[in-house]
Amino acid sequence: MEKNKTIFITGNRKGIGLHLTKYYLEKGFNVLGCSRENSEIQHPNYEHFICDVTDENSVKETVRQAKKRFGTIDILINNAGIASLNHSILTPGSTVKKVFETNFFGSFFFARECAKVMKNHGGRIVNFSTVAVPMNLDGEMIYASSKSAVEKMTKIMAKELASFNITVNAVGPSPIYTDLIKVVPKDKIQELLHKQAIHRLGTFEDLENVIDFFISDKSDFITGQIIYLGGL
Amino acid sequence: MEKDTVKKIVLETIAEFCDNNGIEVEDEITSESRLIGKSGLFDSMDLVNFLVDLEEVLEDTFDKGFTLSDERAMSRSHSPFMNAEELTKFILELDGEE
Repeated sequence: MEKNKTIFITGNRKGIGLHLTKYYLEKGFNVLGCSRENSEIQHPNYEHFICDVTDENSVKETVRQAKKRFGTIDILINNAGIASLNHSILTPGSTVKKVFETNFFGSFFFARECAKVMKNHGGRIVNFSTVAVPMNLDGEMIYASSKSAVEKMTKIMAKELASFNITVNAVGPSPIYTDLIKVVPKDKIQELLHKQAIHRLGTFEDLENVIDFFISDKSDFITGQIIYLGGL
Repeated sequence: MEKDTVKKIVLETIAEFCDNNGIEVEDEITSESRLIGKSGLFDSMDLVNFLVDLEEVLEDTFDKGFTLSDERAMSRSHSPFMNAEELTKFILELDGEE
């Protein structure tokens, strides 16, 4: 693992983002993070930005300030995301807009701006999908559709950015116990776990393992890939 | 932002980009030299890369964000990326809209 590199983790005030921030700080990386509110993380190698990922200008300014202060961004972990569980017939347009603005537009804005910074020295972009995409889970139409768009973005950006030595991959976590899934009924989670080859909840360690693989210097021939946890 | 300052930045960035990317330039690059099209200096990927470089130089110089690839630039019948003169006008236009 390459120490002293700079990682930007979006949506890192809690859940997976917070865990990854602590994990990579412990490993010696410089970590930059953002959320709509202040973060409680205090560390000499950490800097927090207030940023709404759905706001194009806010993302552009955040990445510009990050580059100004730290010189570069080597790795982007596009973690910010929201979920929505509802039957499609009962889903209001405002929810569709909100989910797509955060999950797809937010990921795109950050990937685009960070790619500009990485253009001259290469880099790694890791997006977040979900097992809900290949499972076609009922009740998750909007969430899965927005992540499906993230997968397509991952595959096409991988081609477009390959000449800059930037790899673009995505991880599709199975359910991990975070705020995002605590509202999902237990029987729904059990049903979902039974569709996986390995019937258990994912852990933060499972996720770290895939991200470590994607961002490793040795993974410069790995791009445009989506790795799902749990066996799908 | 002064027009002459912006034009100077545009021309210098074009020259540096050509130099760094092995783009052969027969004559001196002027504000009327074509950047795109059949007789242009850049192919489509060169243009993408050049615009990113130029955004970076403008941002570093003026300490604020620039987005040169906005919808208006892409939808105009007369491309603002035709030459340094048009590009300068477009940058000043974007700056004036803030």
